[in-house]
Amino acid sequence: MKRLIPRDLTPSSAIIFVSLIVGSVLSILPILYMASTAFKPLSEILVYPPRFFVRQPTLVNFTELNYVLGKTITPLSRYIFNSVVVSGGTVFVSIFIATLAGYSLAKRNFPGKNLIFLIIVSGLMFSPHVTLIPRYMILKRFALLDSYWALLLPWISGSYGVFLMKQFIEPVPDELLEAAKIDGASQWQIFRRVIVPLCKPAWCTLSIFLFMWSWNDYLSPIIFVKSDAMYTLPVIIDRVNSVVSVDRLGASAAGSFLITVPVVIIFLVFQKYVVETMAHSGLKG
Amino acid sequence: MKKITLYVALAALLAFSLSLTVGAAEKGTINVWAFIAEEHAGPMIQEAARTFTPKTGLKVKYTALGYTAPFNKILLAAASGDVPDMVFAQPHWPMELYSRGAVVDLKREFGAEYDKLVSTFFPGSLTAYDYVGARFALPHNMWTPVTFYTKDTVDQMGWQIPNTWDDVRALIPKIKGQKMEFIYRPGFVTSATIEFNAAAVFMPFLFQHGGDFFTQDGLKSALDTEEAIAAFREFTELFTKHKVPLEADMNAMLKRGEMPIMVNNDTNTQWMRAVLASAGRGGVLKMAHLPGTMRGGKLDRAGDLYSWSQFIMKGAKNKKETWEYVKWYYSKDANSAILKGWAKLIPGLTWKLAVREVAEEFLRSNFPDEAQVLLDQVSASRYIRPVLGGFSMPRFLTNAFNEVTLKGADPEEALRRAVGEINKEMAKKQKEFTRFVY
Amino acid sequence: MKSVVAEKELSGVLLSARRSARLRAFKEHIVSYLFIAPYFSVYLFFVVLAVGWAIYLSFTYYNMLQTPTWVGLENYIRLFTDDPVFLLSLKNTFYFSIITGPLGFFLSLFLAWLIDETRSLRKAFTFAFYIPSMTSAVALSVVWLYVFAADKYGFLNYFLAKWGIITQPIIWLRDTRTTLLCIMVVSLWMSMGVGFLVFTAALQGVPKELKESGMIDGANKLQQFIYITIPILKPALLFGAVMATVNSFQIFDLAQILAGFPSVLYSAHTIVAHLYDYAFIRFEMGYAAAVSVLLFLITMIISRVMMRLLSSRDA
Repeated sequence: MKRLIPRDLTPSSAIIFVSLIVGSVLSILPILYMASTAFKPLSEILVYPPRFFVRQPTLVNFTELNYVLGKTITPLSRYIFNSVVVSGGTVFVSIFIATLAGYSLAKRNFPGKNLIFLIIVSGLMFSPHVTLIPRYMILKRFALLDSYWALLLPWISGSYGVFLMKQFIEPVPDELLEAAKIDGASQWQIFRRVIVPLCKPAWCTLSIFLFMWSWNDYLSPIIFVKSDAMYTLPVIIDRVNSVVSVDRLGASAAGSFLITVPVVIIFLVFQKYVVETMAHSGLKG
Repeated sequence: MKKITLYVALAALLAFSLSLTVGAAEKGTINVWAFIAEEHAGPMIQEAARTFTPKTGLKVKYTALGYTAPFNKILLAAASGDVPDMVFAQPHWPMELYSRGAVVDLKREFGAEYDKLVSTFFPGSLTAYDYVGARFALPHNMWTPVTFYTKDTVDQMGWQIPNTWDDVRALIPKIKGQKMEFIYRPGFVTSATIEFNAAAVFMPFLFQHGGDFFTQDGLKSALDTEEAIAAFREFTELFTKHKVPLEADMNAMLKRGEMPIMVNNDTNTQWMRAVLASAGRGGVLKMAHLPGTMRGGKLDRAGDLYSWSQFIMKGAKNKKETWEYVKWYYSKDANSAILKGWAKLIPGLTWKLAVREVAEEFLRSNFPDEAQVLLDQVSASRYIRPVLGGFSMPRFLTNAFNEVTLKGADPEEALRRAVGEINKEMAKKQKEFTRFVY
Repeated sequence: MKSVVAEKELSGVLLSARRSARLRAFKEHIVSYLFIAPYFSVYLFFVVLAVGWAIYLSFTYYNMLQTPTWVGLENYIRLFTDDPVFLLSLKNTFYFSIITGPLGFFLSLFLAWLIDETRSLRKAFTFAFYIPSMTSAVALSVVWLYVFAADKYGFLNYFLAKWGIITQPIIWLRDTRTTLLCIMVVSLWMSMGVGFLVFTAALQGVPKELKESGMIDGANKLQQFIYITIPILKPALLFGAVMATVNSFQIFDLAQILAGFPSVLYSAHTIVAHLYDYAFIRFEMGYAAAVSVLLFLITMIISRVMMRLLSSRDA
């Protein structure tokens, strides 16, 4: 258990520490508002100026949400399943193929390497508003609309995964790879034994934001899906909101809160490998 | 080992998912896409199952998409041919689709039956869907502005509820003297929605002066007529000369009692009552007619009438059946039953559906005090007519409004500038349509 | 004779050596391509194809409901000769990106470093700073709309009036002078996202010994950071820089929530806002595609510059 205040506290590190605390508090204020609103009764939600802390916490929004969601055409469990498949699939498949590709781009030389890398990174730069319609047409052409492919492809084909893996694998010393080669390892074994163990921080980082992006994705489901049974949670939560009245404000807030919970959990679980110093950085000789 | 089993399982799942297919549209099933909250589709589903399906043998399949689902969904459906039969959505959507040939012209398609159907509607409710004689959508739930006042404060101060805008202007200094404010449609300045912006809240003034947004033929903007300019001047002077606040928070001000008289959309009744109730003054909120303008010896109380729309897609596979559905939907009994279903879901909301009789019956039995006011206002009001390039009007009108209120520009100059821009955009759209679309 | 035979043998050996070397190299290349294949095939199918289609659309008139009509360079010409709003959006976007791009980048880097240097509550700090990007902009907009609310009870207006700095409430999000600034502030606040996380992770990979050796040589923490840590962090920095560039040039959703669409007198009209306007309000997808191609080129050029600056390999 580390001490909160280290023994050798210097003035500069104290200032830094305090500024970090202040910054953190400012940073979490809006989220605090969102979280507390989920527990507010309607009278407190409508209060202006908005309050960050709830005075009379209540679970009524959640029961209301439960009631509204219980009346959906398709059972809620199916929607949860869809979201889990999409996000879980995104994370696993992306990490797998991105590490493979990232390794090749980082450590292997082959004709067209720079061009391929440039093509991959440039995919980030085309506005998704414009590619939405071509993508719809592509999916329609190949009869992939209304399937899990339609929900997964937008994320699996993203360039961030490969880009990140390449940047993380690049600093790995070539000597390690040479050593493995001399030891007679095959290509796949070199990859598996040298590169993969060093990827943990990168994989955890990727998991965090790939999960988050695919979990919160509203546009792909609403556009690429036709049958009700294939929707994911963001669409369902949005359908709770009754724009014409203030009735479901509370339930909507509860829904927004709940949908953020898995993202936070994933972050907390994987954060370990991202923030703490690794015992073996692998960069030793 | 665990990782590999995971990958295999995932691959199997993906392979399985590939086999998932879409259910094809069955003959005899009407597909309705409703861009509303899922809950709100409930009454329609239940009533259809109760009276429509047994009578006609046709099934209706509703898909609720949420109020905030993007327009792209319908657009892509129309582009790819996978359209539903009927869509229930915002008012400005059908025009864009109709002008590009994706929506059915109901009057042309169903002729006399259409005329018979809409004879039961409020007259102003169809203006939003009337383009050069074509009628391409039907109105649904409508909103209109009214005057709200808190009876206790008003009685206490001995004020008269304003009948005309002159009365309003006379009353404002008195209200301000009590450290209160007269509020006009709060929130429209910073509203990010298309339905609630400067153009929408300008309508009472414009219509009451006898002006209109566009010329009869729908080719140019009519905002540079004398009437329109006078209306715009009156509208902006409310804020520049008489210092009506541009922005106000209803919650705080209602609770503090700083908002004795205001003009607002009638949909706000429910929660304004709730806010007042939380301050212990639940029953004091009362409704009155919108302030009018004397014109030609009569008091004109026209306001804006915003309504949700229903329309039939051109690519629909079951057009005749869908029309039966429409006729059933707007029939007195079904309409009434659906309305009651909605009222149960959202009690306290002053629903007004297009069919006069139904609206009257509902309002008189549920909101006896407000019924006459609402019926009068709905009968007197209408909405913006659809035109090619119509998106430009709210945009430039809002710019003109902001120029006048935030930068002190002259109303007439700002409006003429706006009209110039609007006409330019409309001309561009007309050229585009003659060149590419028609 | 012997020498000729020997020469022939030698050249034959060399030839086969070279051939087998080339064969080995060829096999190596095949393996490299195989590693890339799974990702790249998905990428080709879903990205390259879509982008190619979009580029094709930029040379057409396409309203999404009818088949595209070829118009050649007309869209591009119109963009530069007949579209003052586009030029305004260019100006707005550049103004926005030049400030928030680098600022967000350095802020993320600086914060990640500060947290790395701190010894306690590191996970809590990382969590706190990353949290804004975990929640959707829409959910958080309520708070920001309150901060910048135009009435006298809005957060900023209230305090500024209390301290006597202003007499009339400022309409932050509709007054053309302040709109873009507000969006910049919120955007910066939300920029502690993936870049920040990547820097944090990358900092873990900096060996302690190097830092300590720097300290022994008498360098203070900041110098350590600049001269030792940053060079090692170059790959991660490139990632963060590209992300910051791409995100700052694509700013739109946030601007729309805060300043409305379209913003007053186009004061917060960004390139993507213009694109969106033409695509989904005017239904001129071809024109919008042309805008996106231009945006793509701009982003590409700037990213290439970053790659030159931050490449960790001496090309």
